[in-house]
Amino acid sequence: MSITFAPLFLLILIIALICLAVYGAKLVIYIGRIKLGWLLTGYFALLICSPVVLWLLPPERLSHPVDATSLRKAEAAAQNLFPVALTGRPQSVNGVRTLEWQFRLDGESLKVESSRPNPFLNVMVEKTEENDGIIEATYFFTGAILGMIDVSAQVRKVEVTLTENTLIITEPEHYKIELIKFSQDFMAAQILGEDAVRRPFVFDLIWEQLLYLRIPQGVQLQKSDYYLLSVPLEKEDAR
Amino acid sequence: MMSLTKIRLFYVTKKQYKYKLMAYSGLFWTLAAVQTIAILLSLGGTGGWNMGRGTILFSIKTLSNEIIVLLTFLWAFAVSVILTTKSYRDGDAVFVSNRLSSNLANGAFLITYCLIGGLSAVLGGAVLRLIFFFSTGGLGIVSQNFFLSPTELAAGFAVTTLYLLLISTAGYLCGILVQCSKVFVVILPSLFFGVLILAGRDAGIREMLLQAINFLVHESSFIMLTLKAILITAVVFGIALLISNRTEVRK
Repeated sequence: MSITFAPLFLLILIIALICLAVYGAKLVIYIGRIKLGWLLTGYFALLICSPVVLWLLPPERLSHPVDATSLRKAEAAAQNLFPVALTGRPQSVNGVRTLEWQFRLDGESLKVESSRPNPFLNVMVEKTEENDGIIEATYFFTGAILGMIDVSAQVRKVEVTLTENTLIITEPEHYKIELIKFSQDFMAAQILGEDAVRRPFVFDLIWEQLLYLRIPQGVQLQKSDYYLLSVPLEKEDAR
Repeated sequence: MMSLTKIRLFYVTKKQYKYKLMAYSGLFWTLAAVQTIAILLSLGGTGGWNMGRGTILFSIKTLSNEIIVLLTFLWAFAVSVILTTKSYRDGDAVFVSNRLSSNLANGAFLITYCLIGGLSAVLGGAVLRLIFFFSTGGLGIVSQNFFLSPTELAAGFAVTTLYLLLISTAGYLCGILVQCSKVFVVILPSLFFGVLILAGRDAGIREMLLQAINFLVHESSFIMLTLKAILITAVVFGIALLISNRTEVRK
């Protein structure tokens, strides 16, 4: 809705509230004061009890922000993974996690396919000096930190399988990872201000992933669903 | 010589106030209804942040008691307006009273309602937290700002009540003006929309409006905020009293 209609909406809301107040109050007679009294008592009892119950809740069941060191480490890993992988050394990135697969390829051509029509994963290919028919697939991923909360456990990983001469990368279907964050009471904030003890909450995502393939020198890559990034040979030599 | 029928203003006001509390208890129902609606609306979140990465949608839903507080403001405005309507004014006829005692009783009644509204609006935030905790088991709820400290609750209650007082007094003045002359039914909304439109077009007017709002909103000292709010409330209510008394003389 356009912001132009906001005052109109406000006016309608005020009128509706006035009507509710006028007729709602008169409705008391019809509903019966006793029943209404119980409803009101219940509502206000719920309100009064709520902060007490809130204080009794176990804090360990909530998601706690990660400490500054973990945050910096994950941030550095996410920033470095891609550029370092282009030099052929993704495993050297500090804080990166891996999943590995190894396949034996019969034949001299390989097709890399996705299980999805629109693949998202970054795939890098390095040709090894050997010609032993062994394909190594390594899925590199960093810790996933969403708004300072570690959600790594909720991130689904990719799967890699080899069928004849086709390497199939199975990326997870669309899903959502959601966090719920309460803001400080804006009325209280006016006089209490920003609590110095609390760290500012960062609305950001720290997460990076890529699949790194090592394929034998003689294997020819066919047209793929993915844009396959080749690790340049000279950089490989430098390694 | 003192007449036997001369009743002290304070006594009459107190009687009227007690009567209003009992007679208009239905307004509590409307408060509960408005706040329940506000809590339900708040479940959808008051803001958020989304980022799609591959097949994953990362999302942070932000929640607060803003909607509850804002709807309570509107409720307070509506209640103060209807207090000046004929059907509610007729309730004063059961007492030997004058316009002053009736207005003072209304003022006391509004203060009571503002206190209850302020407290319930702040506690509504706690209810909202409980709803989310018990529906999710705490999974995915960020611990930051989740637990409300007694200081936060007290500060929230105090500030919300002060704003409710200001809004309800403004509503009361609007109601009195309408009772004074029906022309104000047209003038007041026109003025409201007119100022909004002008503020949208003219930066000077917008700046002036913002300065007026910031006079209260940017006040971080509780004592100063209280003084300002009470002063404005007293002036606005005083104007309403004067107009109301004048109305009776006319009639």
